[in-house]
Amino acid sequence: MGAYILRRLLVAIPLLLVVSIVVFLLMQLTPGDPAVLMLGQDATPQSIAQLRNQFGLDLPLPQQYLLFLENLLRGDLGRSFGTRLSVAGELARTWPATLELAVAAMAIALAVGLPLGVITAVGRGGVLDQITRVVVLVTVSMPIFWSGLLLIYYFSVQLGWLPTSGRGDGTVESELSHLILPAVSLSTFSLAVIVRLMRSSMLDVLGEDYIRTARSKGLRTWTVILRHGMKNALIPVVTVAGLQFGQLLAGAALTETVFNWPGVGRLVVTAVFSRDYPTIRGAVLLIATTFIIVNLLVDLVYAFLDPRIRYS
Amino acid sequence: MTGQGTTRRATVVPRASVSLWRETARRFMRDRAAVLGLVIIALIVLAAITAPLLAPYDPIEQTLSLRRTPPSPQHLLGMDELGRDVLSRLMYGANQTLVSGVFVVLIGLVIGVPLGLVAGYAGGFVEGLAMRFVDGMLAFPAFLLAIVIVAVLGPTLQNATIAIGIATIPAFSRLVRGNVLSVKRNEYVVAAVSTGAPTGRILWGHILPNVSASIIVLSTVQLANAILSVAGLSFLGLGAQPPTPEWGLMLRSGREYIQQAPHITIAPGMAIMLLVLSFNLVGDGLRDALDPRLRR
Repeated sequence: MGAYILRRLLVAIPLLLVVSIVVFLLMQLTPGDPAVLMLGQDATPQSIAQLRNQFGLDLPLPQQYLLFLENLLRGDLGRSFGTRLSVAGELARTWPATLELAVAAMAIALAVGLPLGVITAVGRGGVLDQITRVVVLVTVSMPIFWSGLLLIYYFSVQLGWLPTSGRGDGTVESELSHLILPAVSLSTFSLAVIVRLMRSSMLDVLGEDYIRTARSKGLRTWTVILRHGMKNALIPVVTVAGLQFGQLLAGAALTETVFNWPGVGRLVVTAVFSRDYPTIRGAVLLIATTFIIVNLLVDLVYAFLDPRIRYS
Repeated sequence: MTGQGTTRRATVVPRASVSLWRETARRFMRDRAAVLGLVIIALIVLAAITAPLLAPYDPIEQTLSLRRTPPSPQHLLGMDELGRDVLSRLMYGANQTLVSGVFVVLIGLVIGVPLGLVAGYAGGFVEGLAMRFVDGMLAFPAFLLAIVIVAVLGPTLQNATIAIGIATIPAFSRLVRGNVLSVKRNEYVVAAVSTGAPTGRILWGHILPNVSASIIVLSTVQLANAILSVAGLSFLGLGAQPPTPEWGLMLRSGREYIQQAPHITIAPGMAIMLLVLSFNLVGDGLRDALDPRLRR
């Protein structure tokens, strides 16, 4: 197991470096001088030269990258072109909101998706299975920003049960009521994917010999399904759930925009509009790094669930 | 199929493959949901092509006095926030959506498929290099990668299409590489190699036809995803720009008025869902038809 973890870690490190290079090049590839972008069109040549010198923009590219990496390791992501605030500070302010939203969405997707996948596999071809199949198909075809708007229209505008937007005033009750709609909206796609995968994985497992053995021992049906079937059926689902979590973090840009949720996704979108590259860079770096770490964790869980992986 | 390929002479192969496609078509046509999907796609394509002739109004012309009016016999889907006919905008928008969706998949195909073919066939250093490149792209969630590319290129529908197309490449190259790895061990490939056939012909004539079924299925599913992603970028303001009649952008501008005039957002959302659903149905149908073993 130790060697396996080490091997996975060694794969993650070059990936993180790739991410840092891509994100660094982001600013180099964009047309226009960053110093001019920072100071505005009517800046004097002297102030531009001074700024270029201050930020190391006059250094050769590899040296600029090393400087960027050095600052990165110290937690310095530069300052926003727009607000002049430190990017690290902005991310620290918005990241918890995005994480909260993505974790809540994933929790909903798993809490509903796993049991539904098992039930529809066991009752294959039944009414619930048929209905679920249709609902899943419709759900994966729905744009999440549109389902978000429909949720607002129905639950906030028509019924007046839940707030339309924002993150609440700090009390638990208000925060929860603000979280429900965006989390449900963001969860829909992953939920559909998880139901579909759990169902097919469960069907595969239920056809295995060890399930027949367990049944023939006279164990109760649900004991067989939950204890023998579910643990094995979960293995492929874990990987996909990990990938889905990364997609949730990226998809949050849409949900956060619909619900005015003050997270990193919305920060990126506004930063793209104002060509605020340090902010884009920091946010992308944060999301991609989280994505890589989550996938690393998923691989480790996977190895724990399926011992065959460790020795391959 | 493997057995046929090895025992019959090469001249028989075309006939065998024609009957394979005919058999696939026959199985596909028996799948009612998939056929329904195909019919809906055909109708939307027709609406897109005939929009300049059949759309009741100009998609950009504003009648300010009719702003946000609900559906009526004159304006079947109502008027939007600037007094433009929603139905006409939907018809013209179908064009934008379909064209950008197709281009996304083309980018994925043209770059991703050769990358996967060469990587899977060559193995060794080339494969390592190509796959590390793909892994690097996969380090970013696809939609985030698309946002990054738009940030570099600038927000237009064309750039959004390119961005999502690039983000689609890994899906194609991984699938093709995986398939090539198993196909290249087949006897007909080994036989072709031993007769000294040039690599290009082996890849094009023997390997590609045998991975094409999964490429077709993936293309259909990716087309569905592409439509969602392009609409998503436009919804964020990072794709099509006003006054282009594009479905995602229509949702963006209509969302402000969801309380007073929900019809402005319901129509384009429904259109996106219907089109994506249809491509998903066709994709599922194709997968079942091409590989009956997968049917559940």
